[in-house]
Amino acid sequence: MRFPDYLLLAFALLAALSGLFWNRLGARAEFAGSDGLVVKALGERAKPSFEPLWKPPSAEVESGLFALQAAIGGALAGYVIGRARGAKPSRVANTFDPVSYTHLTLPTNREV
Amino acid sequence: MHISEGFLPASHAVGWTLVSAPIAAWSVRRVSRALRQEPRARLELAAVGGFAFALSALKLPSVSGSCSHPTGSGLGAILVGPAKMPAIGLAVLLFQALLLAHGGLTTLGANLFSLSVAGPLVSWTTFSLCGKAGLPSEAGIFSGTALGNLATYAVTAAQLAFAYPDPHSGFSAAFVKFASIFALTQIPLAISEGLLTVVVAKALRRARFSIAEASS
Repeated sequence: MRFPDYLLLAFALLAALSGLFWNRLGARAEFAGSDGLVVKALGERAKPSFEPLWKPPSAEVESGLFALQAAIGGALAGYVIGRARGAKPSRVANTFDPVSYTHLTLPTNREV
Repeated sequence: MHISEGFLPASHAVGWTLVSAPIAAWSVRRVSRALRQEPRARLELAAVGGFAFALSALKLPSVSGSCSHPTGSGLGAILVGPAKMPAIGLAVLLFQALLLAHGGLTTLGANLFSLSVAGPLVSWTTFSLCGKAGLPSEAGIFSGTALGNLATYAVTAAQLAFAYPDPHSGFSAAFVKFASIFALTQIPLAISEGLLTVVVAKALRRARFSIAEASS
């Protein structure tokens, strides 16, 4: 059984954003990162032994850098798919049948 | 799946680095050799590397009320094989550790192992088994990607449980505790990543990339 792409993408989006319906169900969710929740679960036992060399100075800068990461990735993948599809013989050109122009260059045919 | 900077005891940080460093070095050599010898490899690696870069930046809200992100490594594991994924994962994790304070240098070895060794191996094995069972390639891509995603998080939970066992019941209780933080969040995201990867793999196939190469 084959599913069309738009249906797969719609379900992918639905699953990816499923958490947003959670709030509507009355659960007050904070949507904190699960990596951070794990650190919280470690509690007092874990103290970081090493600090990051550099931290984004604000949440805005951090979201900007994440967007940069996604943009680099999207541009790379999109370039390759676009380039490979463009390399195929154009589908538009193939939909036209060859036309003969001989009748225009041979006036005698027309006058007979 | 990112264990934060400094949160592994020194012996574990060194241990995971020793495990992952040779794998990463071998993978980087495989990738650079492929780039030199196969002109097509450059495009394939750019496509799967770009996909991994983009997807691991997307933090998505999930049903447990917390956020997590897809791994983006199932596509690459299936398309170019698991051997080339540690090199790609290294680029992703270094970007995030150095620029975003997400993950870290002391936890790079552990994170590389879960994201780029364990996850891709599970993805590729699942995909190959589905192919052998005669299932359509879409089923293999979906289940391979979703299971690889879950495997990455299961390995992270195991690494944490290994470093911080429960004082009373040891490793297994700690593993259940950490895995339960990830599990509910990660299941919808694994399904989502599986579906998206099917669409992207189909697009790549239409663009004349062969996805059967990985299974041979």
